[in-house]
Amino acid sequence: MLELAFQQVVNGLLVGAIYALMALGLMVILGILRIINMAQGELYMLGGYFCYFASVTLGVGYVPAIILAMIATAGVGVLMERLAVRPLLRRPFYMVFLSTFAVSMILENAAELIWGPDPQNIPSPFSSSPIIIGPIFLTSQKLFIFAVALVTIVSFAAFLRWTRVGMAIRALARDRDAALLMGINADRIQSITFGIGAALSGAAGALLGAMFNVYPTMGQLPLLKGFALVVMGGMGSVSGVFVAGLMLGVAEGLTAGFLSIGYVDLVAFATMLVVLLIRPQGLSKWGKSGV
Amino acid sequence: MSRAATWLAWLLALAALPALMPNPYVQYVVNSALILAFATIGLNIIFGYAGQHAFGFPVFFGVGAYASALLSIDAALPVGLAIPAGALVAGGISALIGFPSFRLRGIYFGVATIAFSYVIYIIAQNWVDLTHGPMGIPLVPPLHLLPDRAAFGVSRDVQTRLIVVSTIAIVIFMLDRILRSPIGRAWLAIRENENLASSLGIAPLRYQMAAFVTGAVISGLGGGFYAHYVGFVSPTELGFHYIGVVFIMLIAGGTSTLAGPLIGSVVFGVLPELLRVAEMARNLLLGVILLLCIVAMPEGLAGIWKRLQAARARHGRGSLDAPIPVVTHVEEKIAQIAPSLSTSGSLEIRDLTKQFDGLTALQDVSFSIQTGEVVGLIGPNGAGKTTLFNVITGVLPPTSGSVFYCGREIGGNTPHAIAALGITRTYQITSVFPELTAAENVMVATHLWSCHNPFAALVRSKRFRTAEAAVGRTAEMALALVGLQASRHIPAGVLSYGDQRRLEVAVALATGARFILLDEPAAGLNAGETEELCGLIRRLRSAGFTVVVIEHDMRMVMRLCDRIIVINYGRKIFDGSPKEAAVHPEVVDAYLGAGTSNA
Repeated sequence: MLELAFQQVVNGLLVGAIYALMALGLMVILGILRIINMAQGELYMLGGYFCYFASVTLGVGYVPAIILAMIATAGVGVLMERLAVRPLLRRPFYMVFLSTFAVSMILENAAELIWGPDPQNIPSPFSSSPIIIGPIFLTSQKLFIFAVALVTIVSFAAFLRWTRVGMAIRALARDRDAALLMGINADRIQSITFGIGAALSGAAGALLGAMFNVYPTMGQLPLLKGFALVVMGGMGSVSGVFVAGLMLGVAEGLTAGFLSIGYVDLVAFATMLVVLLIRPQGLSKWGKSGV
Repeated sequence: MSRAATWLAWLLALAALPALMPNPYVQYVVNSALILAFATIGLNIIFGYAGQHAFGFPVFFGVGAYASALLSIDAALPVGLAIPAGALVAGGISALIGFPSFRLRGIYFGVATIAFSYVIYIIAQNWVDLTHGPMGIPLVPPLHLLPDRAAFGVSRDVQTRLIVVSTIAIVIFMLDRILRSPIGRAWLAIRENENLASSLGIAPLRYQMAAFVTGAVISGLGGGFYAHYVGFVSPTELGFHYIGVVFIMLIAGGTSTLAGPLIGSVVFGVLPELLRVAEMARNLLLGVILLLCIVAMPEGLAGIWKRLQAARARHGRGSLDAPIPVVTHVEEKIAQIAPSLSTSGSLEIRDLTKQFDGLTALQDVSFSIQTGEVVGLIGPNGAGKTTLFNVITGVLPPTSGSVFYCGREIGGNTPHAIAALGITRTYQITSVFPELTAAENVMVATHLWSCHNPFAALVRSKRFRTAEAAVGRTAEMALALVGLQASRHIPAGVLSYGDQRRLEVAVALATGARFILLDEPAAGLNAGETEELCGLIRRLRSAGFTVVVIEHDMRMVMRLCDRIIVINYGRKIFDGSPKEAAVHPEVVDAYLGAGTSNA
């Protein structure tokens, strides 16, 4: 019993790190533009497919494939911002919600046309022999994925904190008008933000895709869970979202291990709803300013 | 009546159309599109009219479908009962979801409704005993208008279409009546400016919930028709794709119009079927079309229609404006503009303190205001004057101390409850309902004394018609009083600043309040306009109104007010006649300083 619990906690942390990665992609875009990007799940899905394409079709190694996938997804994100978001920013915010929903339909269908509806497998360079630490069962692939997720999140946090562009992003998120008056080029920062947000979710897709499979509809659930995490973790906080991601992963792992596999996906939403009902303004500091 | 007739003609034409192409497939496509119109009409109520971003809302279509199918199979209810019962189940579930969700604001509210919709989806997949699980419910019994023997060869497709179209006609007819009643006006008001709406006595939660549940019942009704027409329900109908499609139909058709949802449902219900030639790329094409719709015609198909009509009217074929009714001597009838909510009102404030996270905005403020007084509330910027208004009108709860109105403690009550006692206010920053016309702005303000019983509105009872006639008179009189009669069909948002300030006064008077708080009413007005305003306030005083005015124009305050209360750093430093104030050392030091005209 206890062994199962340990095992599920470790598995949960692993999946949770990837959830956090996905949610951070969502968070930067939501934070800056105050829009719900419904196509974020499809960016995640594209990350998985680009990684598959690079490693299977182009025959690139596993790590370069992940990096290529991030770059390509960032490209899609920038393009999407140009075509479907920027022209609508002066309109009511639900317009952008719907336009990104249209993009999600387009991307999902496009992926199906290109790669087919069946799940595809990204071959792993790691041996499948398990690493056994006490009662816990791990594979080197899982450890590697966890490490990549961690490195990506930490570098993202450092980027936001210490680079000029990162500072501009935070300024724009905090007070758009003031940031514009300070001479920040909002259009450029917006593009960059969308690129970064897409790359983070793309990385999540590439990593999880390597652990399981990639398929056209794989982005729907992570999108919703990402929202739950952004709300729970606090809209503007990288560490908050990261911790919330890990906790969600663990909670899901334990639910799957001890309660029911079918209701695993309920955990995220049930938790989010409870959090929202206790703190209607959301957990974030920004909630106060009426986001 | 001609309006209803036009609608009926359109609907019948729609229903008859497929008869020209008696191909079962065409019949199926058109019927499904018409059935989806219920979901779109329901969504339009909450999203379009009430302006609440309930992104997960279309799930109630699927909830109605499930409820009706299960009631007819597992509870063996006849189909004709199962469909309305299913709609009620959808309404009940929407009430359970709505109450907690409406505690949230903005994006959070939208996200919560999406989350709830997904919870419903997961339950439908996993609670196999109740919902039959992920494979869905096959063999849902069909809906028959007539037994087969007596149908004279009228096919089930045609029967369904007749039922569906006539139900849509009834729904639209009823909705139209509700929209042209205080309820519909309250929905628009909450959409446009929730704070202002509640300070006019509209309880936001009650009307948001009404829109949410009404929309869910209509959506659920459509779901029931769907289940018994198609004969199969699965979790797909609760899923993301459906939610998106219903939104596409509404936005492309045109939100906040009666025709928009219907047009959108038919066009976007049929379009995907036409795209079947490119079966593999259907969603891709649909997505591209949606994107083009949003970018190129944000008002939807119905919006284009409206613009065409407006253009036709401009070219002399019909007129938008009826002649302006003549209203004379309105200045003398100022007390008859609206029925009074309360006869007398004295306000007493005792030891009122308001703190924000350690910052004390008001400290131990006490004073009283008698009926029929005009009192000036002055003090430097940041002294706490507007905070005081906010506490009196219930926008902010007091930290400690009490506010009594007519001897009743009102501190901490909701803004709409306080408005109902006959206290109203204007705002320092102009606050109107921008998309509503000047006349509609005033009509919203009559909420507290108009007839907002939905059944009276549906049957247009005598009481309702009398009340609405009074509302119309009030609007004309209030607009005439402030000289805005000619602009009454112009959206408030495009009125000039001065006209918006006048409109605010008209709105305040239409509420029927006798205790009026004006927050810097002269800010931005020129000398002539300020003079007009002073005349108006004096007339209010003679008519028995009580007025408290925050103002920086000292000349105006000195000449107008019976009494002046001065606040500085959250404390009351003076309470007395204007003459005494001008020589009181502390007041002079804190506020008046060297020059007395710093407006």
